[in-house]
Amino acid sequence: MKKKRAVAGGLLLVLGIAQSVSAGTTTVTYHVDPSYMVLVPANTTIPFNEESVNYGKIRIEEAQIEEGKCIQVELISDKKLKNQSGKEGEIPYEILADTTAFTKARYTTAGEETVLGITIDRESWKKAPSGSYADTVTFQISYVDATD
Amino acid sequence: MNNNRRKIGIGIAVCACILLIGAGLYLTRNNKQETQESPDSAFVQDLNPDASTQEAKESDPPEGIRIPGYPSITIPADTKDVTVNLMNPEGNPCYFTFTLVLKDTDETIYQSKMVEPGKAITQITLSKELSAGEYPAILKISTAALDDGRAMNGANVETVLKVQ
Repeated sequence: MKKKRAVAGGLLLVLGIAQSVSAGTTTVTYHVDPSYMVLVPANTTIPFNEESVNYGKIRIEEAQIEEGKCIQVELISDKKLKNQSGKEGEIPYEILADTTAFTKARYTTAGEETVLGITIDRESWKKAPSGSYADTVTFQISYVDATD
Repeated sequence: MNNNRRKIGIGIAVCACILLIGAGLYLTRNNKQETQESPDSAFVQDLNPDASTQEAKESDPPEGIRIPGYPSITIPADTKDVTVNLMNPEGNPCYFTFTLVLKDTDETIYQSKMVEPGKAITQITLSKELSAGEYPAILKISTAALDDGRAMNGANVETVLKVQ
């Protein structure tokens, strides 16, 4: 008799719990703020007399962005290499993506990249004092509407 | 018998002297090498004392500079002391210096000291309080090479300060 009461009580308890669990629902929300990571070339140093050198790449390393948005990367540079040996001298240069001058590019997913190169006119080298030449550039990075 | 003991004693003393001389020469040579391997550096880092170490993600050193993007930065209104996350990703070849500029007025409201790769600044004091609203801003990241402090390529990250 006691055993039957215990079993009945246990069944009631289980039913009661099941009923309370299914009585309501909980909505859980979690907002992920957009964020991204961009890899850009580290510096702009050119050995003397080189007309064309590899300049690294712009690559999107991480991209948690909203639909309809993209990451825009622009180049800000006076495009003049300065002599690093203390001599006066500037050399104009161009940063290329493939064969066209790079100004800006847009990206939406991680892994997208643009390979860059630097070209210098041979005549510019002829006029320049010897030594290594370098410049620093600034990459303007913005989060914009993809349709802009 | 006594002669034998004396000879053994002398032999032990000679061996001990040789060992001591050898140890002294070894230590002296090591000190010289350590001195040669630590050249003077003229670059003095002006490090931000509040930067804390971030959890390092496993990754190879980048072939460039990793720049974190901030589509927006949310901060509380009417207070200069705010919490942010201005980080210099692990593996970068340079220190970061952050400057926060309001785009509409070109006003600088915060500038950091140098932040080492793998560290971030989380508590900053703005130059002024901002009332609630949205402020287009630019987070300027200037860089300095780890070894000699020469300027490397930098970035201007456009963002929106959401002041709530």
